[in-house]
Amino acid sequence: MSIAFVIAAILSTALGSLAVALLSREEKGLRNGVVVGSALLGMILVWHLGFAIPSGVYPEISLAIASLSLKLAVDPLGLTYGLIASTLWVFASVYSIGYLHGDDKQKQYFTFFLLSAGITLGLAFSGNLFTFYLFYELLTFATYPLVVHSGTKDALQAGTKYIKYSLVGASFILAGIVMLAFGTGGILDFASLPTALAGLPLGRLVVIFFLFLLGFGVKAAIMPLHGWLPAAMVAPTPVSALLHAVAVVNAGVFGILRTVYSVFGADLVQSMGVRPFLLLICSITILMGSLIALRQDVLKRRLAYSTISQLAYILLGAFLLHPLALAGAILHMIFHSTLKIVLFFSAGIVAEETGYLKVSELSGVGRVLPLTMGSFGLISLGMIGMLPLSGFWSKYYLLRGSLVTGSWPLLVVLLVSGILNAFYFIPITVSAFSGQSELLPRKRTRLVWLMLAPTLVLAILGVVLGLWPGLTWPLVHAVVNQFFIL
Amino acid sequence: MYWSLFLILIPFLGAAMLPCFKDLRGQLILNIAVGFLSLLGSMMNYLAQRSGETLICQLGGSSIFTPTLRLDGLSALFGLFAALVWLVTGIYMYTYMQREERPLSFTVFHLITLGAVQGVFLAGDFVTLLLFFEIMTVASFFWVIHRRDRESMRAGYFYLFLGIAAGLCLAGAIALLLVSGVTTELGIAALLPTDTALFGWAVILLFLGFGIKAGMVPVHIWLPMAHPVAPTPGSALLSGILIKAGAYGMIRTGQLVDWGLGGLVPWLGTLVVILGVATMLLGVGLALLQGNAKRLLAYHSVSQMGYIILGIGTALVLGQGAYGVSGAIFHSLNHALFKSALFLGVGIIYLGTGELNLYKLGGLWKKYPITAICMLIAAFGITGTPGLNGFISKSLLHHSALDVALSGNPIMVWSERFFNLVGVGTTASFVKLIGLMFFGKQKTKLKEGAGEGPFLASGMVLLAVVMLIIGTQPQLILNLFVIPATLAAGVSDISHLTHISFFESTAVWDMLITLAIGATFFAFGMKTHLFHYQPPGWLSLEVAGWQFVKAYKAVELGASKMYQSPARLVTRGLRRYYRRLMVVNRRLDYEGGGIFNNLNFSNLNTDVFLILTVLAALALYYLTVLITGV
Repeated sequence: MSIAFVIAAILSTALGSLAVALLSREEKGLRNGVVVGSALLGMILVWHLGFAIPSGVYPEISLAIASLSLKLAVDPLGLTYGLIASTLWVFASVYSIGYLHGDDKQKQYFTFFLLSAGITLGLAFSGNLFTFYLFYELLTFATYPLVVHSGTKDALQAGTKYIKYSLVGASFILAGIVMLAFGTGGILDFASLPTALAGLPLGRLVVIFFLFLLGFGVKAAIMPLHGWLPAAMVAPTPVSALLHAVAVVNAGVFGILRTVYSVFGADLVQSMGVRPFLLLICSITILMGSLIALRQDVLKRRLAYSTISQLAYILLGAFLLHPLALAGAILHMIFHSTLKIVLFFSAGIVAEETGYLKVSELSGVGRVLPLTMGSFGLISLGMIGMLPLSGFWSKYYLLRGSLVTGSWPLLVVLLVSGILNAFYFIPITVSAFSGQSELLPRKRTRLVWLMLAPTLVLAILGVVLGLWPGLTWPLVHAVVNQFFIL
Repeated sequence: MYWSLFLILIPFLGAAMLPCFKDLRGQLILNIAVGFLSLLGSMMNYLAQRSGETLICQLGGSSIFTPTLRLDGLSALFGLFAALVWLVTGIYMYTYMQREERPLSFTVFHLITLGAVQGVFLAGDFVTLLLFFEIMTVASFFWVIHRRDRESMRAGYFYLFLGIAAGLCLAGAIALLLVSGVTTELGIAALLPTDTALFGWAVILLFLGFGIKAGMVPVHIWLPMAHPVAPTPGSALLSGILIKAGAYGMIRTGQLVDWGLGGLVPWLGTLVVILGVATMLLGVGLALLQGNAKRLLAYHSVSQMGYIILGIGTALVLGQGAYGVSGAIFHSLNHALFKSALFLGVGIIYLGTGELNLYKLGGLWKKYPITAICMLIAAFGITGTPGLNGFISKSLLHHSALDVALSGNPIMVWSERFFNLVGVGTTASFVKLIGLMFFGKQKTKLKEGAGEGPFLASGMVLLAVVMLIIGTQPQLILNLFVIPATLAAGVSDISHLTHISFFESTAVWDMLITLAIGATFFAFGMKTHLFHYQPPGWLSLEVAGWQFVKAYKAVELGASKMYQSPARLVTRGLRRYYRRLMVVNRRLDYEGGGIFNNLNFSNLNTDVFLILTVLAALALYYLTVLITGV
């Protein structure tokens, strides 16, 4: 395994994006081929890197520019994020082709769609804070055109909100990086940061930590920095599904995981004494996200608040600073992404096929779209944390992690949040199947099967991972091993 | 014992195959066939563990989850009776489902639930048990909402949400068990947990989780709502088997704490006894007031589950009390038999008359002789008449209650007294059920084609025969089934059970006196219209549940208002600040003077300006830090 694979993975999607931009607007077949092909190539390359985890040898490359250096490196945590993103990108690109069939801005859409894939992979394999920051900012700009795709006033407003939140957040990160570089004498490498930071005064470390938290917290949608996420739901559904349930929000979470474990290290964060505060923030986000979701009538907004709540689970696992909890966080990152994307996909199919966007309108839709609503219902059980869906296992590890560290109130928070999830997810499915409606299937102008196939495959994946959660264990074990001496 | 897995898989396969049959009769025959296969498999399971050994198999798996199956006396016994009742309802459904709407959907979930229930009884650790428990909850939810009317949807939501809450409690309990240093294996006593407090909480959560499923007061509220609205085979299985999954879990939890020996959770026994007595009393009290036959039976399920919980509780108080454990196990089986027979009987009457209100029925024994006889046998069973199965298990439970009452502890003494009182209430309400339904004057016109078909009746007859066999040959059943199950449930000293004689004159007389008082009480109640008494709304827990929901909504509204008013203030403030920044920016752009003339901000928009402001503030802060060196 060499670093060439990492560069190839990033370039395959980035060059794909370039190819789409250069192709003429009319060549739909070729464009679709390029989109799926380059996403697939990216996925295969990342999986190839993933299969090398047992060897324990991780390549890296750095390119010095003045006193800073661009560095790409592979490590288990980055691989986790890269694997999730690149795999789901393939599904989302197939879904997008079906969803945007007949849309006249496809070229613009797919150009930025593939570009964000490349940037996401760059983020995943960044080896130092500077590179990380670079890709993090690029991600904001590459995804902005996707959010405002429809060009309506609402979409533009939401886009502006997204840009403002993200850029202000990123400026905090930059400030943090500058302060950090002063303190460590220019060391920004993830591999050597925790030791380099150990000598710094604690007060300054806390300030840097909170700067990072504020910055990454925007994309991770920690309350009260979450405002952009529900607004960004005006984006086309595949964008909401991929970016606002997987890539962008997970970039924030990934950033916080990097901050806690790669920049500061678990020991240093522990000694800063900020843990109770962080756990409190996460608990509030978990519960408030669910409570607000209860009152949302627009399905995608409800899903957005559910995402806010579920992302806080991952952060909770990260902040508990215990191997079991970190395993829970990593598992939840994997499982939440694969589950939530199905919910968004289903919501998109319903919206496209029937035109209904609100939960209160969905009664009886299940008769018209049984497979779609069936996968929605099945996967929403996973969001609650019920077996045999994969969502159970991440909660199970989070529960164990919180109990082992003596934070038993989190047990209550997690269980209450589970039942709240049930309150806002279950009635959707039940009314979809039991309600009365004289709904007729709309004329199918779109390629429904292109949207349905990824949804069903991912729904089945949810059950398979629920019954064999051990499939993810090599990855999770490697991440835990990376940061804790087991 | 890998073949035991087929017991779980065959119903799932059957459910998948059902839609392949276009013909309804074909589907229903497949349903019966699967029930039959399941019964055969359960018998093989029973024979496999006959010698008393415990069979365990681990199914592949990984470091996170290794599904484990475990077969011992207890699981084989529960699985056997589940399969029997399933077969009976399968036969019954052949006629019943031809007159019900959406028969295919009900039949599919009938089979899925069978697989899940067998899985619950065969699970070898709490995680595997939870897996099947959740499938069972979701699949049987579709029975409850089968009618799709307002009442059944409401009941269905209660059922599902409480079921999910039960699952979450179990998940929490599993985490607590692991953290307190105990394995999650089923069927063994936990040895010295590292953290006794966490272990105690785990046991509480286990009892709560299984208690929800078992209809334990105060989390029984779903039961009287859900059982009556389901189609009859569903009601019979819900009351007959599904709540026994809760009882099974409680017995396994009792085994986990070694039935109170070792003193890990000394308060547990008393708590469970109190809950059991409360369940018995509340169930029977409310049952007496019901006019709807299915609701009456549902409340009796609550009450009878109280007996089982009391048995578990007394066993915990005594420390491996053999009478309590065996009584709880035995009563679970007996209740499965007579309660499903009663529900099936009521269903037959409902098919013919379309009426469930007892006060509008009457004189039906001529038209329904077999149903009348079978229901009478079942009613004798549930009231504990000597010669029938209920008498045997109630005697065991009564022995256990008497044993704990000897300690002189007032709670225990009173629980023994309440035990007899509940017997009186049970008798009165079953005299009412049978009397109003079959005797007196016929008040309702029968529908066309009303009557007992061969399929409807044969299931009930099968159950009645099994009840009679148990009632007349208690010693045989005890030695064959109950004692091995009691041993498997972790009770090592069963010497009391081997030479117990059930038909002692005092015990028989006690029961007969109870019956007589019950019958008199019924006559008194009918004369004084006591049974029409409507308890005030605040007493009913369903209403309390809705009040809770209402209260929550009010609190939520208040909270959101409380949150929104300051949030709005902050937003407004931020917006004002932002606008002011824009003004400043514009001034710098176009009207700036002095030093600002040389700077050109025209290509920076306000957002970047905002960022620069933040950065400048941070830089300032950093400089002060650098200079002061804090």
